[in-house]
Amino acid sequence: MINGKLSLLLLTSIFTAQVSAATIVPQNNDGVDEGFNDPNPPAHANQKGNNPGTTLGELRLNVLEEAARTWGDILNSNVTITIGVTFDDLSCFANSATLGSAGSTGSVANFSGLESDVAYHIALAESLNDSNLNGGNVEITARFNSKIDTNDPDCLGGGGFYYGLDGNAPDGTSALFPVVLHELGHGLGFASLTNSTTRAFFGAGGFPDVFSRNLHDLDTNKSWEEMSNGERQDSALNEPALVWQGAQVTADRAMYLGAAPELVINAPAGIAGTFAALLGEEPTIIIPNGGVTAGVIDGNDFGDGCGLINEASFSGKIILFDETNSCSAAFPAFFSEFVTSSVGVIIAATSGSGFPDMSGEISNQEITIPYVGVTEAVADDLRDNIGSVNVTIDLSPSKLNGENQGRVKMYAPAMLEEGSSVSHWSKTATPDLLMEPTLGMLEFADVDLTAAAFRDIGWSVNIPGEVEGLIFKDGFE
Amino acid sequence: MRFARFFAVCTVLALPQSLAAAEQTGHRYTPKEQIVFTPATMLAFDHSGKMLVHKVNADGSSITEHNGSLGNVTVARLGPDGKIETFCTTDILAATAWMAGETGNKTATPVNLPVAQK
Repeated sequence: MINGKLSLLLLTSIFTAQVSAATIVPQNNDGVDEGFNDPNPPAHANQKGNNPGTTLGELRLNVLEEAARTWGDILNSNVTITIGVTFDDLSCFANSATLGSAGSTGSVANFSGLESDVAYHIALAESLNDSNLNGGNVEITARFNSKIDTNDPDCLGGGGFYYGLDGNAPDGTSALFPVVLHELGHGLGFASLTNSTTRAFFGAGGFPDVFSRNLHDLDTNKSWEEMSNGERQDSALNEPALVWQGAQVTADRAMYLGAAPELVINAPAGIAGTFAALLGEEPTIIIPNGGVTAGVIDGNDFGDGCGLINEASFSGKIILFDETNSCSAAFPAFFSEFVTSSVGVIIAATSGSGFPDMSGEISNQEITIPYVGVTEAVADDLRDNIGSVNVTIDLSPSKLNGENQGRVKMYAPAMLEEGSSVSHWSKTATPDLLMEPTLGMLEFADVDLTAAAFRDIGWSVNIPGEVEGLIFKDGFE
Repeated sequence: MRFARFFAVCTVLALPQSLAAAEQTGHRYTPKEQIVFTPATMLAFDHSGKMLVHKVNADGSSITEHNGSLGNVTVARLGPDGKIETFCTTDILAATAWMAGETGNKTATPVNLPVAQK
């Protein structure tokens, strides 16, 4: 019995020594009485939330440490990951500001433990190599804006950072925790090491990096590793065809993404079928189980949907409008729900084979009826059969928001000014993901699908939701 | 309640959608020409490769130092509803356009639970 216990202890210690939860340490690089050493209390009491700190310096450090701990619980490494971090005076204007930035300090290739001729972000490489590879340097640099806390109404309204760790940031404050968690995600490896203009690889040795190798273009059916620089330039602007091809993300996507909406034409039989649709962005939309079923009325017979509609015939019906540049899709949905008691709205694309623009919300309104965008071809079929057509707006049993052909989409908008950053998930992912380019407040209980992406790029990872004991990490699954 | 909602909205009906909500409250985004970034942030935006230092060891292994470049930058703007919106990008032009209100945002949409939770 004693020998059995000793054997178990030895086995445990061997496995534990091989891999353990990562230690991620913020290195405070600020001077005396500034940044992380600021002895002053925050200007507003509502900035603290559940953070136990009392001074700005303590509050800031607590947020960094909690974000580092969150990632450390997910990733495994025997090599300490150090974040060189400062709070500095960065740009701030009355209604906008820089919040912060971060990135890995370097990449390496062709060290022991790494796949040959592939560039790895330094923190990941050190984990796989099981040793420090960059001397005394830090693995991640990060910088955040101390001006936000100066109580200046001409600096982002003067509300300051919210230092709570509970996702309850009051209006007018900037939640720091999700920003830090997101930025550290980039520093740990969720970033393409490519030239933003030429899309040449410029990770160590000029080799493809582990992140970019997981990017795949469905139009060309090539991974980024297989493409020329020119092909990667095109692919970086090719949403929704640019997707993540890693197996873990693909396997785990249904844990984090919601069902995609669809339009089912029930009658007449000649046009019946199920068609893809794009959901409006009002956060209060409700699609009940079984969907919403009704006859369709052509709303454009009564106006373009951007102005008051007060037609009794709309009650209980689903109203079809063409898309318009005069207002967002939320406007006809608003009028249809609150003025005419319609039960749903369909917005029709007016050209091409794609969907209409469904972005935009009505501030402080609670639209609950579903409104979806459909292609011009589907809308034409509906209009040709007004009077007899019956449809259901529903959620797909098989397709997810934010995926294309079973792969999770990356952020690659065709318009350059919207940011050709392939180092984020597509904004169409719903519910929102941590590594989307826009951060909300609801999605930070864990690091969601990014943990799976980190396994795809080579990290030893504790995937949230997996049944996996502490000593049985990668290599013993 | 419904009338209050209606009148709040109807004043902005003829405006481009990206600015409609702003007009509703008299809100103004930061003019593009006023937006400048500090040198440290400019460095983080730099994805040209000019700041990179490459070292090749005798055994064939190699290290590339980023020297502050290749960062991701999160910017914020005050929305017309008084809430702070954020946007992370590697592109300085994208950051500027977004801060100036020329490009949109998306907020969390809790309507769809993840399929695996149903």
